[in-house]
Amino acid sequence: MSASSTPEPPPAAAPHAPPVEERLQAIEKRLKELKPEGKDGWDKFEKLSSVIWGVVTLLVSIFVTGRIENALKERELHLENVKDMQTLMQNLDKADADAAMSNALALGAHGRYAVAPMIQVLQAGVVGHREAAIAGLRAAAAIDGEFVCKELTGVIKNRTRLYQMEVHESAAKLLGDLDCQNAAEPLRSYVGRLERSSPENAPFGPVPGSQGITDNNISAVKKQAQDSLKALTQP
Amino acid sequence: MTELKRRDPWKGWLMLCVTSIGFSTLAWTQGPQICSEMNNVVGYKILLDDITFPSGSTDVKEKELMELLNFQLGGRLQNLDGEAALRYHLVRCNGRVPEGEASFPPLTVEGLVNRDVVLELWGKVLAPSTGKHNVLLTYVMLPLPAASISPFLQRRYQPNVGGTPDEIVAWLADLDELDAYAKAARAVRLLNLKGPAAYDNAKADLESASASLQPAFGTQPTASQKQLLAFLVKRKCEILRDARTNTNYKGPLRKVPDEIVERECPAGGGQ
Repeated sequence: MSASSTPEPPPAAAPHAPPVEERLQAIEKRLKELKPEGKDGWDKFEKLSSVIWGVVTLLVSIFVTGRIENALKERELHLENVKDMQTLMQNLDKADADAAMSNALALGAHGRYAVAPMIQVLQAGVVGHREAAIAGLRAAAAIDGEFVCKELTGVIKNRTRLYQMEVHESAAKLLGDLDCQNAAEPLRSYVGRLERSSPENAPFGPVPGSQGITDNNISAVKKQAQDSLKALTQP
Repeated sequence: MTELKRRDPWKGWLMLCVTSIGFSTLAWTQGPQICSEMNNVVGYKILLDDITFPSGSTDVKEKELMELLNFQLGGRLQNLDGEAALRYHLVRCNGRVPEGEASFPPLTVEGLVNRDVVLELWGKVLAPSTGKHNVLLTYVMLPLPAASISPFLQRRYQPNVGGTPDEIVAWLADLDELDAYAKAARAVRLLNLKGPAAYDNAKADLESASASLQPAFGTQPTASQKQLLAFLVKRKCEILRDARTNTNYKGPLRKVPDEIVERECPAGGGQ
């Protein structure tokens, strides 16, 4: 038996496989597609974001620091004002009518800080001090009119009888005198409320030393409020 | 003066000027003392300011005399009226000496009236001349309508009493006129507050005041005294006439006969 060796034929190529060149081209094409094409907005933002955040953080910190500093300074000044005013308030407390006027004007020069003490002077109801307190509030309004108007509007809006009649009457008068335009609507409501009021349900308390709230008290305050409203709304 | 907000510079200067003027004014003027004690007393009030005694009296002695007067007068006034709501309360205003009408601006008068102060008085006892003491007193009947009558009345007395300050104090404490002024003022206050409901009390007060003041003013009253007497009669007549027709009044004055009204308030008088 003889063994004959015949060379094996090369494997036949797959009948449908694309040629190598084509495959290479396809691969190259796909690689090309995978390559990044320039930089879009997001890429730019990504790169800039670190810078933007830095700037924003800086601005916020400047703003916040400023606000905190201002608040601290405001508080510091408030305390300083209170200290300045303390002596004046003590003097006013036991002053005669003329001295009370001087002290009230000096207090009024502290602007908004003088408003609460002046309202308190009115509330205390010392007869000779009322004119001084009104003058003090006028002086304060020359510096910070908006604030004074706001606080006086708060007085007439109060319905809890926190303030006695003369405080309401003075506030109603001052709102007109100081031309507090934003007070026109509250004054209108106030006049309406007073028209429906009786001594039992008036929005203010009795004058110290009096025998109680009277119809005359309500009429006096109402008249003052009406006069101020007229002054504010006249063309 | 500190403020965070920016201000107009002129406002700061304006306030500085106002304050300076205020303080410099204070340096050479001194107003009357305030009297916050009136806020602690509820009811009709008579404010007793300082009555100064002749220069021989020391401050301490004067203070003692005023305390004595306050005690004696207060006691007498407390016993005048039976009805507690109408009773006067004497309020001592230590150190207060008003400077006439200038010390009573409208807001002050309004404040006093709101507190039911009917009368305020102050004065001085002058050194005796020709053996007689002269006492000057000023009364302010607060609720009197300033448009029709002056609430201020100044009186000069020559009391026929001994010369010691204690005797003068006793005389002052017994002065009926004071009660008459207080009644006149209380009548007006009652009418202002209660209208027809106060007619009976007000009429009684006006009549009593008139009856006390006519002899006190004598046969030749001054113009202001005449004015006060006429005012008292006028108000009384207004009450009498209105009481007969006003439906809000239900008291006995409704039935006062015509002849009595005509006699007390002749036509043309008391109008």
